[in-house]
Amino acid sequence: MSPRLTRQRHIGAMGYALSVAIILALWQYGSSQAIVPLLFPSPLSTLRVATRLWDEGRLGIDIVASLRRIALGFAIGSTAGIVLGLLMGSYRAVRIVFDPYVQFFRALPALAWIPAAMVWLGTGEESKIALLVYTTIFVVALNTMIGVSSVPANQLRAASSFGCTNWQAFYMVKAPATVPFMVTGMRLAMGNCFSTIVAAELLSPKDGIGYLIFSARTWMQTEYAFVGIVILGLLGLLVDRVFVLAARHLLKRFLPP
Amino acid sequence: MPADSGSIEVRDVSFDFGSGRPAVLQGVDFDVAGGEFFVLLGPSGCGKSTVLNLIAGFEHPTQGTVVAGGRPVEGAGRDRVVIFQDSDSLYGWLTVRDNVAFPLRVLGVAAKDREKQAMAALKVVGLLGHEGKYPRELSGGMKQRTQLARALVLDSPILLMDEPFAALDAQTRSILQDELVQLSIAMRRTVLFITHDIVEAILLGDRVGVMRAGPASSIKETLAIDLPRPRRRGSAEFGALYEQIHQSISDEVQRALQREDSLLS
Amino acid sequence: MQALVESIGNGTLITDVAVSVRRIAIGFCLGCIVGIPLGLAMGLFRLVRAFCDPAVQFLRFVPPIAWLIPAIMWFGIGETSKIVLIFYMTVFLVLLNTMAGVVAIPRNQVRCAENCGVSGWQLFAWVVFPATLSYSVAGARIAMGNSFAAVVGAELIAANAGLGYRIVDSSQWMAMDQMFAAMLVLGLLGIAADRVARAISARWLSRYVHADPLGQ
Repeated sequence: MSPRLTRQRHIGAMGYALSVAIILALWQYGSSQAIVPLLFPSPLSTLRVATRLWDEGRLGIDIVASLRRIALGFAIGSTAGIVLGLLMGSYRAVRIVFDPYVQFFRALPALAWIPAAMVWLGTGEESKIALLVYTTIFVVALNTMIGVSSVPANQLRAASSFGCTNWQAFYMVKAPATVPFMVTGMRLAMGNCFSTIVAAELLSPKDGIGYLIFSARTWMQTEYAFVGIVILGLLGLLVDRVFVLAARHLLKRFLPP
Repeated sequence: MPADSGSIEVRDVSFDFGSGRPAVLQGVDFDVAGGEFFVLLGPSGCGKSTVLNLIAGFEHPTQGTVVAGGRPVEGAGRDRVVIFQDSDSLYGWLTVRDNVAFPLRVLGVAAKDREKQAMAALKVVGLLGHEGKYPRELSGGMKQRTQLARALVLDSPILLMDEPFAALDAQTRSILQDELVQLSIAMRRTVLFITHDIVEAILLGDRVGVMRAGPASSIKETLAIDLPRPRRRGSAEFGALYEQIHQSISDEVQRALQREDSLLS
Repeated sequence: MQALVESIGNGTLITDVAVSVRRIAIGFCLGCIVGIPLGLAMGLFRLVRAFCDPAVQFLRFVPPIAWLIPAIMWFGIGETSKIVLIFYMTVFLVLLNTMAGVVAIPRNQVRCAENCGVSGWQLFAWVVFPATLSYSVAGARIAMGNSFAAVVGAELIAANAGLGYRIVDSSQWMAMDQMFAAMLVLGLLGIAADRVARAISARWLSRYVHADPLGQ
């Protein structure tokens, strides 16, 4: 790397750090000016509460509980969504049957299902994971379906001129050509999963980051909510980065240059 | 218009994208007289478009000077209008007429005069009847005609054309080439025309500058094309010039390939 | 079905819809008004981008529902807390899309304008803003969809009117038919809102859209 590029990168990193510092300072100042400091905790007191919760082991439990649910629901939902999307994209009959439902359920947010899920599946793990599957499946299915229909026609024509059977054209051309769309759908769904799980944990509080945020109200401790929010932001950022990097490395040859 | 307002001087120009990166151009040096049609010809990737960007003022030379119309080039300006290879420079949200009128709008010309001048320019390029369409409704040739009209509404002494016909089909290209010949005779402006097509170069140019293969490219030789216009693609003189330039360019391409081979092995 | 007819008949459902839609409309409009200029500024000026980027990158992963509890503690369980959540979400989606739009302006469009000698203000009003509009609209459309989720989430947990409140209230009384009626209306409303947004884009904004960033 040339020295100039390295220097530019240093300046970029310093600017980043400076900006974070300014924002934290504004936050600290803002909370010190708040009329009721209890309601607007400073970054320092948020950090204090976070370390205390961590030492008590509660924070770890909540993070693991939420992440485990997301991992499970997201994995099931993505798999099902990809299969559904591929089928809908490839077979007109399947598309005609399922399209109205996919369109409707995509418009009906998972959050609206929370009460129903709790009535049917109880307040335990099943209902939360079912909600996450619901959150994921339609977004992934819809993106996959769009992907199948935008496979370049000449790629399919080339395949058929080599004598590919329909099935071969499906798994040798259509499915791999659709991977970028699946990844896009999954990335969108991942973001929504965080929203769904927080809402579900807010409504049936037992553990998880949503529960942590909820307990702020019970104990009139806004710090709890802020700890939860900061952790959500960090986790979301981290998971998204990991997802993008993993996709870029593992699926490199499927993605556009 | 004073005679030298259309002149271009490129003096010993070098260019790279940041220190430490390989030089794109090294020691490029040529003049274009006012009213002259100068073609810059070279293999792809040799830095032809960079030369044009330097004259247009989009990029700045690392070394050397660029002078247009007697004044050093410091930035983009409407005395040097550019016609881009890709038609993505047309504004998708404006009609053909409004696209052509855009430079006049920048100048503050009243709406009515704008329209009149735009329509006149559209007539010159043969687009009357299409003025209400949006760029995405046009064929590739029509898009390039729109770009040409947009350049013509400004009375700029210099036109900079960056492979304007490269993306068109052969028929449309040869029609537009012939029209450009007629137009350039009629308008007597300076044209700097970039191309990798030898036939196009001979057909259009008063002089042709052949560039070396990059990196660190420069002008290898300059040939005057002393054929009367309109030139016939099939004539013996045309063929002889083609052979001469073809030889000169294929030497460059060979050298570039050998260099890549030695880099790979 | 009977419950749907009934609750439309006695007006509760219509009141709920009106309450939710009003919250969305106010939060959404305010979010667009703030998000578009901020996104343009972040796209155009490195200094603004450098300052805002860390905060934006961080906050965009915090779902609006996470702010619900603090919002309630600050603004009470009335209108303000819900509108703030919708505003929050809309701002981020519109801002990020607008910023991406500024970055995606074809370089030749800017060069051509510079070629004509535009002033900074003209470049903004005649090139940057129209070239970015389709991206802002795409962001606003996603935000509109998510607004329904956000408002329902907020109403589920803390409200005394609105579709979300109706859903959770019915479930507590085990009135499942009434709950499904509210959910059905919610889904249809979401679809209708998207259709309206799409129709508006097609009617008045089609010339600004060169490539639909949503790919639909």
